[in-house]
Amino acid sequence: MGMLGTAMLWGLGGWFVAAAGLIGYRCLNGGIGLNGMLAHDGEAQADHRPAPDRIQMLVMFLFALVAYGRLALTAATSHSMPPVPPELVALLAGSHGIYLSGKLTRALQGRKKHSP
Amino acid sequence: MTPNWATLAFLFAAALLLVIIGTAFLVLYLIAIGRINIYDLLAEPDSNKASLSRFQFLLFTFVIAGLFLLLSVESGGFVIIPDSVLGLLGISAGTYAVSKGITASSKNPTAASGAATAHADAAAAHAKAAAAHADAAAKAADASAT
Repeated sequence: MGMLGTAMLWGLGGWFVAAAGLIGYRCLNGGIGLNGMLAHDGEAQADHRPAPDRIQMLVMFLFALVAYGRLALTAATSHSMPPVPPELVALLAGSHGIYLSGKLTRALQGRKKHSP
Repeated sequence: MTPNWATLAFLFAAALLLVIIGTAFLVLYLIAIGRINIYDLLAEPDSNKASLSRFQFLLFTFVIAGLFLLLSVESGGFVIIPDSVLGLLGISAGTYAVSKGITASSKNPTAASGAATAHADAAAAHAKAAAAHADAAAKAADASAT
């Protein structure tokens, strides 16, 4: 990589760290709205109670991200990031599947309730 | 004097790089001083509620792009992103799309049935008008025959 490539990588890296820090700070001090992120849509959940399926999806996602981050830092070759283990993909897909099936079930129940 | 094209190309690329990175830092500065409001960065357009999918995309972008930059700086060249990493992003994106579809279909069943009723009424009116025209035509045909 030439001098310009290195300069671009360091410039982007610096910007990236600054952006991540700023957004993380704003999330923590309320500068970015996080209200109701773990609650379902709709009037029944207007009090923004956390929903179990959303919590499990967030936890699994964070787990998958941290696990892959650790793997990438330890097992990366010089030319490539390591592939994601199939177990991790299955875990994430299962977690998202649980969330979607819960959402679909609630939508169908709501439709039954409102139908004449 | 013969222009040195390699030097010119290098200067042009350096200027372009400066403009791109300068713009990126300017945007960040405007966000930091509050000239660009990012309060609704994670909110859905039609509600004031933060979206879990958007939050996932944000984290995913930061982690994967951060790893990419870090490993690229370490190795001294751009590293390859495997397909399975993009597959992870695809799972999140697919879930987001399906979830929006479920929400849209559960929010508007009455609107959909109302539109269907309106279309059916319009079709019935057209059929009535067509029948009236057919009657009139038949009467006119009878009259001309007699």
